[in-house]
Amino acid sequence: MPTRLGRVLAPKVTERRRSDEMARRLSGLPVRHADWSLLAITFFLIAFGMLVQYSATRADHPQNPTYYVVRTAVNLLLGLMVMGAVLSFDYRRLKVATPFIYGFFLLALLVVFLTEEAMGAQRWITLGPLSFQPSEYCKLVLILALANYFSDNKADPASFRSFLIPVLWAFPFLFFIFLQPDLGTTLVLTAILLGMLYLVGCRMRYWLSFLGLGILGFSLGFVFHLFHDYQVERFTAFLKQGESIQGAGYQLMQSKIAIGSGQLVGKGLLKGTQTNLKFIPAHHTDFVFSVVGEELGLLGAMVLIGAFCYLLWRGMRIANNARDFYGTMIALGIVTMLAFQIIVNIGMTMGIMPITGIPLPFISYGGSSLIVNLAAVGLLTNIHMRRFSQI
Amino acid sequence: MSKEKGRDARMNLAALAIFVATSIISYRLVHLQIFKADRYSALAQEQRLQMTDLNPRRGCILDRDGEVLAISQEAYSIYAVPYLVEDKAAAAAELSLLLEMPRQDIEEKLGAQAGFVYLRRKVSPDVAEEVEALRIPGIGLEKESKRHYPQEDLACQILGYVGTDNVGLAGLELQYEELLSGQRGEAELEVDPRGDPIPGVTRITKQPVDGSDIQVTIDSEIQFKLQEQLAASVQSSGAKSGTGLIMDCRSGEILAMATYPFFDVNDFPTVDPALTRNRAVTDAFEPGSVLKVLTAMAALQEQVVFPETVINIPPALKIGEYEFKDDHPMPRSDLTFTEVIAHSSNLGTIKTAMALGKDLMQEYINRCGLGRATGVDFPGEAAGVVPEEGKWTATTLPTVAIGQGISVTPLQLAVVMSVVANGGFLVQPHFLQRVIHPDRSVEEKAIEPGRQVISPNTAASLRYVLGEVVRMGTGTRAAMALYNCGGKTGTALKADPRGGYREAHIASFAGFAPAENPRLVAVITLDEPLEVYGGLAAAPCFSRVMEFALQHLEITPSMDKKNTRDRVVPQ
Repeated sequence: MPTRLGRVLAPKVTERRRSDEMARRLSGLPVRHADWSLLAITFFLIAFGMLVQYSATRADHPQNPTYYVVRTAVNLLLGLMVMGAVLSFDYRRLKVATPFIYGFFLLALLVVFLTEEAMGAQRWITLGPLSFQPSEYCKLVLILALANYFSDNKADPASFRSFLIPVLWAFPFLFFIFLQPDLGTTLVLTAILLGMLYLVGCRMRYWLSFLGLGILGFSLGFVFHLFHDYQVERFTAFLKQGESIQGAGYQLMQSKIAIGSGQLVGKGLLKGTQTNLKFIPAHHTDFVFSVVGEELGLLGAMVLIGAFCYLLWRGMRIANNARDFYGTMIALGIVTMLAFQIIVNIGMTMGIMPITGIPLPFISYGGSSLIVNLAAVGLLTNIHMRRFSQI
Repeated sequence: MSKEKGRDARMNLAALAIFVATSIISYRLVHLQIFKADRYSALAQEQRLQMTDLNPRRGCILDRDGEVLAISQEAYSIYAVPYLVEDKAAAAAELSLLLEMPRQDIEEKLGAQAGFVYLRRKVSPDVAEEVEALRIPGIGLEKESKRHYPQEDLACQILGYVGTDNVGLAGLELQYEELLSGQRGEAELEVDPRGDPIPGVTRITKQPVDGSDIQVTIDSEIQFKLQEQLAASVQSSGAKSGTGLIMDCRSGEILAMATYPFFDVNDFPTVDPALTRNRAVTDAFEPGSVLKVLTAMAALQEQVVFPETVINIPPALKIGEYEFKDDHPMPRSDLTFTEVIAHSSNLGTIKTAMALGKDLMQEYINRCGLGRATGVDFPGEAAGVVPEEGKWTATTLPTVAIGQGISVTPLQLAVVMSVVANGGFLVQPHFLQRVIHPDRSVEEKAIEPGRQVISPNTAASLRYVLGEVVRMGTGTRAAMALYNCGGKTGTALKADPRGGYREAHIASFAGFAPAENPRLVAVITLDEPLEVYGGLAAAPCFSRVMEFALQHLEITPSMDKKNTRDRVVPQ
């Protein structure tokens, strides 16, 4: 049942060799059917990210220029282990486990509120040398929960019930993460919810009402000062560019100067003056794209954007070719998550999106984020390599 | 099937949305990195690079023998780049001894969240060397300079001072600012977002050119003697202040110049501005009888009188509404012109001036440069005030003839006295002797020969007359032990700023020596001494300073003693 897009994307199978092909597909280990180019582009992005992180943070710890890169390498190992674990079983077995996973992470979100504040928010659970950010994992958990619901749902996807239940699944996550406060992750979760609702065929009236209510709630939040000042300032900085030289306006200006001064080919890795002299705040996390723009120029930035597009395309292709609707929905959820993060993060460094704390997948420094993204790629691979398997 | 078709359409729309978003981002990238690239590159440069001045070494001021009067000393500022200092406690302990600062203060500075902090500004090179020898990573030196006047109060009003930005603001420091300052260099340094410089990436874009040294005509020894004797005379005469100068009568080189009270030049900015005025140049006063020299000069040159011409001195002389008198009794009623000057007879001088006429008097005032600045190389010179030519009344000529109603600076008096001493020509007084450029090449100051004012014969006759002042007239106290000299005393009423005169005097003596072949002229003025007569108050100071200066310059004592101390006729 290939769709039209699927017909474009899926390997062509001719009538004549159909039976041979079937036999080949059904025999042997599922790993034979893995999407190697997806894995290749993922590791290319991770390597790209580590290089940029090294360049950005080298001067931050003069005695230990590899401080952040070594940590990323450790996180990469952890992420590969998680990815291996995700690949080791058929993704359909997750259906049974989903309520437990959901419960576990909801509990983790509550535990977060018992921790000490760090950087003005309660986001992390620290266990020895490891720190764990449940909100990052919740993105994937929400995808699993929604995919689980949609694939089991016998009702008309356009019914109100089919709209309300996913919203209720998402609500506890949205609520507790917003309270941390972590506006960025809240927005990503909302994007995942809206994206999956749209793709599954939610009635546009409900969908638009939700979006409208969200925007209204957000605006009321502004009016009644429910947000922290810094959140408001960062969020609105892109609306009044050039007005403020302090705070978020400064951050945005510095980011634009960095990218603009990178010109066509960039100043070269390790040679970005904006980066090395710390003019760009959060140059290894939220604003890592500014470093790419400055040091690698338009060409480097386009290579990165191209790589992301390739990654998204592979994700959509996997969604199309998935064995079942459950797999399709997981893959679409992951594509939505990645696409939203990529567009908002890159957009905010150039002043076309509001500044929120959303990391750039694989490139920004951050342990939980890397592990979750590798788990997501693991899930995509799992779905793809078991597209012929019987359970 | 329709369900799937719907999903298909939605997926295509989602893919389109991603494509559109990516296109917008790409366009934005092209906009920033290609179309606006120049602007953002310029902004990046501008906020990162900062131009800084490199200060050249300011030239020294040396006296005529090469003695240092003003020097810019190397000073070093000790700074730290805190994050590079590994063992902060140990560094603080070592530095606290050298920098004489409490250890806690240094530790606090080393703990600062900054890329750059000064630990101590402008320490001596010795301390800087010791700090450098410690080789503590993260601790550095920055070269600066500090103006120092090693002779403290010597020539204090002449040297002036230099502001914190190394620019001369007064005196010779101001006059020769261009020569002394050199040319600033420029360096480009990188700064971090706080605007702190990042050490080690400074690039010199323009090398600084050091300033030239200037050697001035001041002789420290004579200057010291003048200051010592001015102080002594002011104190013993009870005067408010005293001003003096010694000048080479042939070249116009000023060997010494001072006004008591003195101050330490290193404290210049904190001193009462009234004390810092170099009054021999900047303040004009009514000189009184000293200016009879000018009347005598004109009369002798125009042959209105001769030294031996006999003049009858009446008890009083009524001119217009005003009755002139001599303020002390004359020995006889008939005096030779020499005796008129020697005893400083007002009436005799006035009669001579009347015979000379106002036109010729004005002519000689002009020739001697009164009422005009001498052009000495010193900022803020006063021109003095001469009655305007069209406004002379009946009493102007007799008044001016005896040095009232006209004001001159001590330096102008020295120039007039030089004309007599050097055989009749006008000298250009000056301080600058030579310039020593940074490449050690030497530029001598050219001395332009002055205009002839009176003939050498007239000058010689006048020298005889002025010698008689010292031998048997009002100036006997100016006589020296080894040298003959000539000069003129003056006791002037001080002009009241509100008009008229007040009961206060300026006692002065202007003279030259050795009388037979003059080398130096000196002018001493004492402001409001208790003993009013110049001969009593200012002449002894002249005598002691002049004698010292002549001996210091190794000038042969007078063989033929005419008016040395053992030859004078006490009054």
